[in-house]
Amino acid sequence: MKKLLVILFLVFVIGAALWLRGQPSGPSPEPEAAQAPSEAPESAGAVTPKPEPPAGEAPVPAPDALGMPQTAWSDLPNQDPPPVDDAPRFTGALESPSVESLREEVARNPHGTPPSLLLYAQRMADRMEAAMQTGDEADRLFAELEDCVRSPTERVTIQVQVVCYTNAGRLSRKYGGRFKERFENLVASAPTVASMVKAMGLDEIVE
Amino acid sequence: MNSRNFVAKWNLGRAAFSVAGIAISLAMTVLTSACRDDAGTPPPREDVLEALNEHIRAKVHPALQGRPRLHLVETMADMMLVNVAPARPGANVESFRRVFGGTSMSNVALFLNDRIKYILPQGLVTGASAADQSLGGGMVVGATNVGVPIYLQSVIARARGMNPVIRIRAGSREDQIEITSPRVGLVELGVGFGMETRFPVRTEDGRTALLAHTWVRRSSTLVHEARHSDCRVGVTAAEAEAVFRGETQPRPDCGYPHGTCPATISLPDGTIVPNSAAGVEGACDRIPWGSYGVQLAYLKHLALDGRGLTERQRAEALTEFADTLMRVENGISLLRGDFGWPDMSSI
Repeated sequence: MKKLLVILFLVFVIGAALWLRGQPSGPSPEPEAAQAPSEAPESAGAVTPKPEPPAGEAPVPAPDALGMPQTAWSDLPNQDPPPVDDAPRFTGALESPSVESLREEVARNPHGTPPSLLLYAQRMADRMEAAMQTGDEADRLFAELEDCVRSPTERVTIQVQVVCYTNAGRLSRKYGGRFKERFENLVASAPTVASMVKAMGLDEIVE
Repeated sequence: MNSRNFVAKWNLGRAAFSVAGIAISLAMTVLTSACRDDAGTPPPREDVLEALNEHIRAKVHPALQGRPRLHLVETMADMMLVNVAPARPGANVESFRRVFGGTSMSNVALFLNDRIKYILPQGLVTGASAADQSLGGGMVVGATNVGVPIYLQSVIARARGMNPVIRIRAGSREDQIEITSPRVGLVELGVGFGMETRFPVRTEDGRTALLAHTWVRRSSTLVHEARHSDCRVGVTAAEAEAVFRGETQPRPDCGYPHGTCPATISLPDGTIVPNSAAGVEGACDRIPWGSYGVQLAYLKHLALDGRGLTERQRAEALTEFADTLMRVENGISLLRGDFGWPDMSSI
């Protein structure tokens, strides 16, 4: 009996030793050579405002520094946002982002395209989609594009004007004589924009 | 209780203790044999990180979940479905060919595979969290390439006789990646890569609209980040230490760090265009064919020659092309090869 107890005790000790050996070790003797440096590496940020929490009952956040109200995810009927091309199309009047707001966005996040610029492009795309299908929509949009291109650069940045001018050219090519003369006048009245569009090759877009 | 009873109970107690000891020992033996591998050696990389898809070979950390992962997979898949070759008759696609080694999206995939090896969630390497916006202003990060800064640290580590291995911890899991070159290609994806944003829109029914990035923007972000993996010439430990002490700037052709934007943009015909990003630090290329220059070549070909783009995708390509032009001094001339073609090599 005594011998049995001794054997069992030894088994217990060996088991305990094995268990202790299996525990995670302390800090490695090898220094971790590759933790992030204090200087943040370059990044290409997607310039979007701070996200609101996706919870269904999250409170509506306050407007951000640009005065953009940010609605909560719960605005959508209980589902994830639809795929991009299924999202509701914009049909309102185009309003280009101001030079001041774009500069502020770039200063806040230098690495990405300003979100207001991307929003404008998305709205423009929705309007172009409709305009490429119906002449009435094309008439309405072409007038707005003319205003955009002719605006002073203090009010509308060249990036916006390039997109406006390019799409005016696309509508002109699509509808032939309907906008031909007006587009030629536009080219003459905005030589800087015309020069930039030509230099970028955007006058050669293939539909 | 008499002594005989006591002895009997004592013996019974010892027997019970022994049985318990046996049971505990057996249990520990079983448990330790099952856990030993996790605690002793890191699991192989193939078991932990999966390849993204058949075209893109980057390994994606399992901790990357939710929208960033979803959009990453969609971006890679959609990118490979777009046809940009052959280009328009007479089109100049030399800049694209020089950067990516060809004129198709398959070439872009190869470019990315050479430079982005690991895709991780934001903060896994840098330690930055969604709440810790080092860029400030409540903006969120889309993507960050941490490979070259970590490579510089590995140069220092090697010089000191240390093993340049980065340990990436996520919960109880730890992965080890040996840093052997700046093309270790560690890219963190931030919440900005996966999110959609609400902006107010004056529609007839007063609803708010969704600004949703397409694969165009996300893919151009990855192209931009990939270029940050290139380092043309080796760096000594002394040079790396001087950079981290703030005594010198990083070499502009190692990681292609950004600089201050010029006041104007010059066109080949002499036209001078005001730059809306004038004077902004860290928003432009420091030398020709940095990350923005490479991104510019990508966006130009996509905007002009992309087949089957939706209107929104094309609009995004056009807008990104125009905005990126503001971030590259003499960008049009650069695309024409007036300043030479890019050196796409790396150590």
